[in-house]
Amino acid sequence: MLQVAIQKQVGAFKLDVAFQHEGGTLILFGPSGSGKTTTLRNIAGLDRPTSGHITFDGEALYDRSKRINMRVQQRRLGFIFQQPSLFPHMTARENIAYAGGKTSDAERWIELFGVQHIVDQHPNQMSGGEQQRITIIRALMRQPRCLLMDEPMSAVDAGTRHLLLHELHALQRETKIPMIYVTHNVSEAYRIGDRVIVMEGGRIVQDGLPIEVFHTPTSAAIASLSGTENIITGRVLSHNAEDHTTTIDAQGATLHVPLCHEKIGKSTTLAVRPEDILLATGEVSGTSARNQVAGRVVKVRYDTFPTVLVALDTGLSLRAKLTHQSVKFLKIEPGRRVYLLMKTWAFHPLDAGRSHHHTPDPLKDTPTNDNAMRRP
Amino acid sequence: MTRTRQNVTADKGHEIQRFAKVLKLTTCMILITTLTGSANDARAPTAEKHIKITVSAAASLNDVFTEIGRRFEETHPGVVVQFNFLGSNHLQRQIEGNDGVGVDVFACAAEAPMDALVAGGFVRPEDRRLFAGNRIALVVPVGNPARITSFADLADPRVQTLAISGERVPAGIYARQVLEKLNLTQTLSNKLVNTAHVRQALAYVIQGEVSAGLVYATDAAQVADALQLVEIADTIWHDPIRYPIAMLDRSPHPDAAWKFVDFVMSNIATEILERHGFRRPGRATLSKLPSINTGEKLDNSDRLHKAWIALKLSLLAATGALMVVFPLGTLVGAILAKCNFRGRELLDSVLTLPMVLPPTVTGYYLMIMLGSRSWVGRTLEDILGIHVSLSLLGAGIASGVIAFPLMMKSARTAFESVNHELELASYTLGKGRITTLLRITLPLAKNGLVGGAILSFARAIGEFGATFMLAGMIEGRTMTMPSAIFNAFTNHDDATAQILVLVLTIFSIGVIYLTNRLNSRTMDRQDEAEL
Repeated sequence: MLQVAIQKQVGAFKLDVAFQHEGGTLILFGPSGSGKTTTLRNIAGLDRPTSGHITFDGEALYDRSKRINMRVQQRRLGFIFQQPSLFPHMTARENIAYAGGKTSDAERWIELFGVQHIVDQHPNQMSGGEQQRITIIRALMRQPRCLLMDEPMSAVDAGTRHLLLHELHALQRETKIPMIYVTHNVSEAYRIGDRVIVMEGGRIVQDGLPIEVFHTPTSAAIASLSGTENIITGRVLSHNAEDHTTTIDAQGATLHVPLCHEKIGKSTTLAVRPEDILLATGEVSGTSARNQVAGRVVKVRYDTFPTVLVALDTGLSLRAKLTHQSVKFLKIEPGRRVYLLMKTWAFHPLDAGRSHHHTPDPLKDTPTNDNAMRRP
Repeated sequence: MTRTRQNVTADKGHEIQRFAKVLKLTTCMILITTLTGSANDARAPTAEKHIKITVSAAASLNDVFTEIGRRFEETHPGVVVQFNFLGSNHLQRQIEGNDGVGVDVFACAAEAPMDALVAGGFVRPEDRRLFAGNRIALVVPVGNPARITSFADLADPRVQTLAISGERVPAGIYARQVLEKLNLTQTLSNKLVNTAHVRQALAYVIQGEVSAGLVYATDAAQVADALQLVEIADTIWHDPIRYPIAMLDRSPHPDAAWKFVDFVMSNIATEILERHGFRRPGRATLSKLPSINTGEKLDNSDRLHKAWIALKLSLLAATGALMVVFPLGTLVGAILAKCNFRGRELLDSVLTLPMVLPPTVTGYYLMIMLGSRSWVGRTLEDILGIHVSLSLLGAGIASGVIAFPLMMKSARTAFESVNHELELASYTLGKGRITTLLRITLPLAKNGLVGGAILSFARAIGEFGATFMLAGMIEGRTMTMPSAIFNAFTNHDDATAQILVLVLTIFSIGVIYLTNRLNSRTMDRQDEAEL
């Protein structure tokens, strides 16, 4: 178990965090500058706190009072940087060999991640996703007791990101190595997080399950971050394989969303961006949007652009992003009755990795259904 | 990011590595062969076999002594004469500054420098001989643009510049006496173009850079078709021009040195001297120019041979310098890049000084610190028999000191430009700092280091100012390419100068090209890796 209780002062910025982590994937979530990367680097030993202590399974990695500061090399914590840190003058195989460890282990990881075809290439011949996979394998060769990842998807293209998250999630489940994953992206947090610690201004502001944290954010900053997404949890009512759609019941509202894995009766979580929600002052016919729900405007928040919070008659609340012109033109104001229009494809799933619908070895399988769920 | 591109860049990289290897190998071979050669000589000063004596002689004696030297070598097999032609006062200072070591014979164009050496105990009074006399001549460029017909015409405002040797150079002293006698000093005071020695003044006249020049009659005779003689000064206008010669008391080859002086006083030498326009003192002095025939002239194979020797010396000195500068510069660069300590930037600045200071300033400091008068220099000579000043070792040291900051700065930049995150990644994989430095940082900094080596090698080859001061310009011993060019220029030997200039230019272009290629390869690779 990892125990962290550290403080660090850098100029005007003060970091003060304390938490424990036993197993699974812990997400350190927050906007840029919240201190999440600093925390991670301090745990790794790449940075030194001003005071506090860090212990792993009782062994002190850092303890100010006892003047202990274990070197990076000895902490046995794997670290994945934002930019792939493969050594450019070595091939993938050489990079992996650099970390030491048994060749048989290396072969196993290479096969597991499906990167046999690039082992003899140099990093500049690989894509970002391939590089990160090799970086992860390299880190695993040391048999780390915990994996620390600092926004590892930054250099990975969107298509591969989805796949790699899936692989990471499965990796964690299989190896049981605890992971601490830093990100400011809600879907990533949802996909692989077992627990989310939200940080802001160097402090922890929330700590809980992903669904708790994002559904009911306690800080404005997080609300604005996760407010880029409307998160909806619903119960699966039916599937339409031909149409590739699923019908769900989201707190009373019937919504048609892309086809998902979950069995009928099970719950599923999706997100829809405020940009993708249309407002109409009356019911609209002849539109391709399969979802049209009625509600009342609760409030309008004016920023660079106005965000309109609408409470549906059935109970669900959704945020829609409009332009100032539209708000004026439609005379949107609190209390006004409106209809929300949403395309099926505007919804995207947040927890693809959690399904066990088909074969038990998710790393080997390329989840084709997931591809269908992605927006065109 | 395609395979082809990777192969191409990898090939280019191999190409450059191969070139660097070949360069190092060739220069290593040259170093070994010639070093073993000269080492043998340096260690056997008294053996009759293949003795080298150094003769420091006034610049005006360049052609005549070269011929005398050749004749001397023909009649005295086993002895090789190396000449050091400069202004007499400069030579005097060299000998004094060096404690009388390194030179075997001294011949100058006035009594005063010899007097000083006798007074300093470097020359025994009884060893001194007078071997020639000379006259002062007023010369003008071909075409005579200022239309000067006599000494008196120098007062005319048409005369814009007058080339004259420096105030301490004998030729300059005599010339100024002439001007004083003719009451021309005031008028010409701001028109004088001072030169390091009389041959340089001669060069300016030949090239038409000045309206007129005051040189020795013998100088004018050497190049009679390259300028016009206007008038020869009356002997009563200046002190008698007497050329003394003597062997130095501390000469390591007293026997050979004595034989040379003797030879210069012999009848064979008389013939050569008179042919070049010098008269024995006491004989009737000439009032018009001697005939042009100066006997042997340099032919092209001689020229190429001289150029080749200069090139070899340059390569030797520069390679030797590089062998010390490269590891030392890399080490210091690594320390400056990686270790953060107080005073780091101050140390960097101090070590960069030799690159920023004028080379002659650096040369001056080196002379003080390593010359035969210094503690270091004396210790080296007494204990190890190693001579720093006026030697190729000195030339190597001078170029090394000047080139070191280049290597150090290149190395520092190379190490700093390695992505620090890669080093951190290595730490997280359990590798210590030294392992990381050797396996990650160094290979990634390689291109920058090679670039630094190339640049400092080039700088060492081209070094002149400091080398000139510490090692002099002794043909066959310390006359590296830049010195050889200067020497050829002042001796109106355009052909040699041009060959050397061409070689150096091509070399420099090659260096710039290589360095640029290496730099762009480094940037390409890092860009690609970051995607």
